[in-house]
Amino acid sequence: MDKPEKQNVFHEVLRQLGHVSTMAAAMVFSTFAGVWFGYYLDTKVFENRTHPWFTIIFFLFGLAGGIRNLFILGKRMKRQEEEREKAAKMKGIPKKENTK
Amino acid sequence: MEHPLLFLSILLNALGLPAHGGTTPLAEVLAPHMQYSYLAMIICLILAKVATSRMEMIPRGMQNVMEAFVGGLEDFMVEQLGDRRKARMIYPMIATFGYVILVSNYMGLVPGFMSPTANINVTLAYTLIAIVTYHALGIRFHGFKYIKHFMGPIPVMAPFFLIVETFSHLGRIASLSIRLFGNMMSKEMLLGLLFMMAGPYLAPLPIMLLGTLVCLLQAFIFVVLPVTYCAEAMGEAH
Repeated sequence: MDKPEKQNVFHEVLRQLGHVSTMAAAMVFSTFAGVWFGYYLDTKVFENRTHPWFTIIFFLFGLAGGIRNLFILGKRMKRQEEEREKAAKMKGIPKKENTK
Repeated sequence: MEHPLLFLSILLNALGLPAHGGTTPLAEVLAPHMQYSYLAMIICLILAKVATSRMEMIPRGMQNVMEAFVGGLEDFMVEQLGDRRKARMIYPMIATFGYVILVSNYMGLVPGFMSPTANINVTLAYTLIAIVTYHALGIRFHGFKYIKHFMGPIPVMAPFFLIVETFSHLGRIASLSIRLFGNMMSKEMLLGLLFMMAGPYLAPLPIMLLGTLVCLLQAFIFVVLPVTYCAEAMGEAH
């Protein structure tokens, strides 16, 4: 009984590590994607006529996308946390429909 | 640093094949990261064959290890997705990712071998497979309404959210591929530098210890994130 519990904690830690390390990367790379696209528009498509503007605008879009990614991952982590707590609470009460 | 010492490359070179990369099609097919990808595939197939060749009711040895891997991963995915049917749908792809990436990550720790995942082309290919799959699953589950996932919660701001979501998905491609590539690459680079500068015996040992941890963690992340994205694509829009 003791060992699976420990293993669960280990899984949990690994998963949270994964999520947390993702959050930083997702935010940074989304911003980069925005900047790159804006820069591409500025230099290749409009040939420097609009120079800083598309870069700035798409930088902001990319930043917003990164924050959106953060929200999605954070929401998911929170939901899992709640589910786990619920499951832990249920464990305290002896379940009757466990046999089916 | 011309090229590191790689057994397979030396072997193929001795056979008269262009094994150190180049621009001809044959050289591209036989570039070092490709050779070691083939090797990883072969190792995976052999391990799977060994595990399933003599199936017994009470698992022993290799069969036991593989059953723990397969069963554990399936339970994990069911827990993540909350539905066994959905989990079964993406299970083969995700399990293959985990298996191949784990084997290819650990291959880099053996002297004379390299991790195929330390090359951006390999990781980008894995990432694109995962990304295309979860969009396809989203379309399959929601049809045309999948676009609602990109619209955000407020109808007035939908065009704005459409652009923002596009970049957040582009960022996912970059983050998923570059993280795996960067971790593996940095590990190999550090090991190589330490081998050359500080002598081959004890100096690289701490990095190797760190490397074993990073290999496991990165393979695990590459399992968790596609599962998360698939769950989100298959679930209802916010």
